[in-house]
Amino acid sequence: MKIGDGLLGLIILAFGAVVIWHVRGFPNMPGHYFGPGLFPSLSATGLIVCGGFLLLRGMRAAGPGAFAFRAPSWCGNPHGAVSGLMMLATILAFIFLGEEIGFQILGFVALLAFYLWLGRGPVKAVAVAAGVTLALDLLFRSVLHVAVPSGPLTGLW
Amino acid sequence: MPFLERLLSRRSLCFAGAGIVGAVAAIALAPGAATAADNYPSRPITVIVPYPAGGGTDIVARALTGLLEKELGVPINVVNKGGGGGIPGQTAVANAKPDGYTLGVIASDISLYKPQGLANLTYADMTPIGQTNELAGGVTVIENSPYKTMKELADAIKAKPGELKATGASPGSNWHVGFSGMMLGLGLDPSTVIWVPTQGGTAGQLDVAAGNSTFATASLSEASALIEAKKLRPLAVMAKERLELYPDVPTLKESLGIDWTFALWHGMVGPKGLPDDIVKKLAPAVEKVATSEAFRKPLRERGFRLVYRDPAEFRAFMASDLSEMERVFAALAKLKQN
Amino acid sequence: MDKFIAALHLVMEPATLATLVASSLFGFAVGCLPGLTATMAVALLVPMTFFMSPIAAITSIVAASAMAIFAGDIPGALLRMPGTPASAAYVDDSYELTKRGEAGLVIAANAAFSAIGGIFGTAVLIVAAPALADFALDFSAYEFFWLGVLGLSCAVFVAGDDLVKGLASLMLGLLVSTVGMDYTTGHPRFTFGIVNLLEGVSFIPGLIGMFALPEILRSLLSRGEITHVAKVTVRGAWRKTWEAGKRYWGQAAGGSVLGTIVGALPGGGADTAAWISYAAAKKMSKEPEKWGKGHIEGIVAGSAANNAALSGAWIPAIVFAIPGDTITAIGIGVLYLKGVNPGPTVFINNGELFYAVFIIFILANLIMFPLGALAMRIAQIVLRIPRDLILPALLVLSMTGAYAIDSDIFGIWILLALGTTAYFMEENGFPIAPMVLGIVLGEIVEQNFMQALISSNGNVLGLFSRPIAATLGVATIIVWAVPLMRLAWSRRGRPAPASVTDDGNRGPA
Repeated sequence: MKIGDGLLGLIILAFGAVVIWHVRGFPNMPGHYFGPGLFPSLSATGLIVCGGFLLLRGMRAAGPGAFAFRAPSWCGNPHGAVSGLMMLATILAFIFLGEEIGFQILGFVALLAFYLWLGRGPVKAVAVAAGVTLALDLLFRSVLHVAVPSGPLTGLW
Repeated sequence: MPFLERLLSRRSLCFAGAGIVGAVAAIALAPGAATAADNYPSRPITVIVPYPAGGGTDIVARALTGLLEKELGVPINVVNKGGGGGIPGQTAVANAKPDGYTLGVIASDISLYKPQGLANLTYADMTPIGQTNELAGGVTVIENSPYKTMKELADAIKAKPGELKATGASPGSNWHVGFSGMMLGLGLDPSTVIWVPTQGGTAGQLDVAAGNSTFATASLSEASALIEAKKLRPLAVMAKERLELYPDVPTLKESLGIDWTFALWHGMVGPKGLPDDIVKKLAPAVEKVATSEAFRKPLRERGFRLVYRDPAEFRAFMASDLSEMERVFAALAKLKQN
Repeated sequence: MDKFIAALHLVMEPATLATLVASSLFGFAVGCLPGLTATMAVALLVPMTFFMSPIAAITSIVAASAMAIFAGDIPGALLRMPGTPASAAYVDDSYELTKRGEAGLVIAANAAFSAIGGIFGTAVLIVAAPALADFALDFSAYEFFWLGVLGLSCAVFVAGDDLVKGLASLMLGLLVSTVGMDYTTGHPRFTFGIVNLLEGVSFIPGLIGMFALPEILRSLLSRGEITHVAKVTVRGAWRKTWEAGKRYWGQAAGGSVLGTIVGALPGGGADTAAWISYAAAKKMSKEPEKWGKGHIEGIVAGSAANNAALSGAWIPAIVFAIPGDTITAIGIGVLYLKGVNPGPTVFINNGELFYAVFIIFILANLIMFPLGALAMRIAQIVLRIPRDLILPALLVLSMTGAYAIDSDIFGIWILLALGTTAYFMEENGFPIAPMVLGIVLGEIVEQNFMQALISSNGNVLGLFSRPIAATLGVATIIVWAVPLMRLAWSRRGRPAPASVTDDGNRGPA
């Protein structure tokens, strides 16, 4: 999704202002004029200045594009859009189900779904999905002793 | 529409795949119910360290578990669940299934959450297995400091409110609590000394060595090489007795006549509700390791005090630690109001 | 000399050499996997060091960490997923070169210049450790503050073509670094009640998210457009590296020196070293316009710097037991474990052992050459895998990596949040590098700023009150004043550029 510079400037400016407004609620250190809000407000001021510059730039360019959205590249490409959504779904599945059903099942199902969607034959898709899941699981847990999200299948091999 | 057909067949395959996996899972899970405490431990144990790799707790945990593996005869995986001031990691220990296969090595921070309202997590959410060590706070100044003894430093703190600087931790965490307790013990308001926040004790000792802060209240072990190099001078330790490594450094009681002591501690725990027969198997193994030379020598060299406490003693100790911290924070809150 | 020969005997023991090889391979594997850091490689080795001789124990730590930092470059080059944070500075250059079929050159250069940096750092460690450690001891919050700001100034040079957008990206990074419990008061900032955020936004998942996620997403969205990467030419890779070395020996030397110094300062570390060295080299470069688009010069400077920093970090570690980074923190632990107590007398008490350690440092850095060759083989295989097979696997790997660092699902949230942000930023021409720099340095800058302000009772002029601090402060102000004045000057005459441009439509892809 592409946004014109002018609008970007406005968004950044507004974000900086919200941060500064939020930070004003932070307590100062006893006996000092500063506190935990100092550094965030300095950074947010920097954002506001940058946003201002972008806004100015957009206004000077004055073309119709300065404050416009432009349709993202995947709009004309439904296949790509579904792939993108599948990616989001996979990540959310790991977040919400990761510690329930574990990496072993989730990883396999996610990979399988992707491979089928991307046009691989079923046999190859199952084989590669299982292989990759197993390899990553063995590598992380058995060889390197690093945890992966665990579920009912964890530790069976 | 061939496209849809393909999609459908793919989708059904997908479900078929999930079904197979589910069936395998069901079969595999069935014998799990048979495990009992008798043959504990029969599979690898996970030990959660609520701090990142490389920190003090991590070093203690890895030293402990490395040797414990041999005692118990099963592999032990150390998992660092760092961040969040140790709260998420300690919570994970507390919430783990109490089957003895998830344990934790925790630190004294657990006594600081509730008194400060950070989290409602205390020692009562854990089953103590064994305490392994303590690390006492100390007081250090730069070598060419005008304060040669703890008494001189304390007199200067009294005489020049708002001028001296102390350091060693971020406010509200370990060594700052040690400092606050010392000030309260002297009958002084801790805010009459400027507290310079640092990330950890070593950084605090460095700040003193660089000539910025007047003194640090972190452990002497975090300054050992700097003391040896004559960059820093230890004035006191916040322990009941003098430390083995620093026999010439007096305690606060000896130098100032106050009773305040402060130490970080580490120990192994399980989640609340860990069955007694599992604790009975674990505790002797932990005791054997925690009292072994292989574990103690390197830690002693770093200035840790090796204190083993069995499950009952450990629980009593954590309870008294918590009430002591509650007392300090209540006193601080009262000072702030006035 | 006797000590040297005794040391050589220690090193040449079969057990030591076997440990060297095994832990090198181990460090290599860990470094290659995104999310697993050099620190983790070392931590995983600690339990094994119990059963090793002192020299073998130290060998395993040194070899594994050096190899992990080098190997972190490899997934960065092949997949735009920096294996460790220390490789983030030059990941875009590496990845662009790979897309042009130069993966062989990138990996050979990573190996060669990592080795050079590491060996240079070791040489400094041997010759000047006590003196440099004393110097590092003079640094307090004031000096570190200016050093951090100087580091942030690098953003101006890594910002890319659009300075305003680069600075906005930097400021956003700084804001991200302030999330979590505040140091000075313990006040939770921007955490909105989420306990996992108390200690800040976990950096490793964020890093994976910012670099890998947009790349995977772009490839998925535009399937068909991005086809295979150009073929890998491995032949002639070492020769090209040699030529790059001849051409950019100054950058290699500069990177080594800067890396060693940054590494020796407690709190510095390999990531900061790579960024500063990359930016400094760009500033001095004769062809800065090529940077970020697949130019080997920055890779030379950055690869040398991060491995030099690793060696440099051992300087305060050995002399004063002060860890320069988390790797040496564990290293110090292992030294104690083995009864070798670091301190000013260590060279007297344990002379042989330390000469042996230095020999190990050098050997470990030399092993990078054969492992570099191995990495090229791996690269050939990885790059031959069809994109549609590798993309989903990368997505799963990213999430596993984001989870691994704290064993926490929350890491995947961070991956998603920062990854999405980075995707939109790149779509709109905001460079990611300054944001990463802001996150890396923000904490150091803020902590030392607050520490210095509190120490001087709120007097900002106090920041100039110590000689080294004043020097660094003036240098920083000059670095900032010059480009800002130039910007203001150029703004007067010329009309502003058009708003939505059609070039660079997918960021650095």
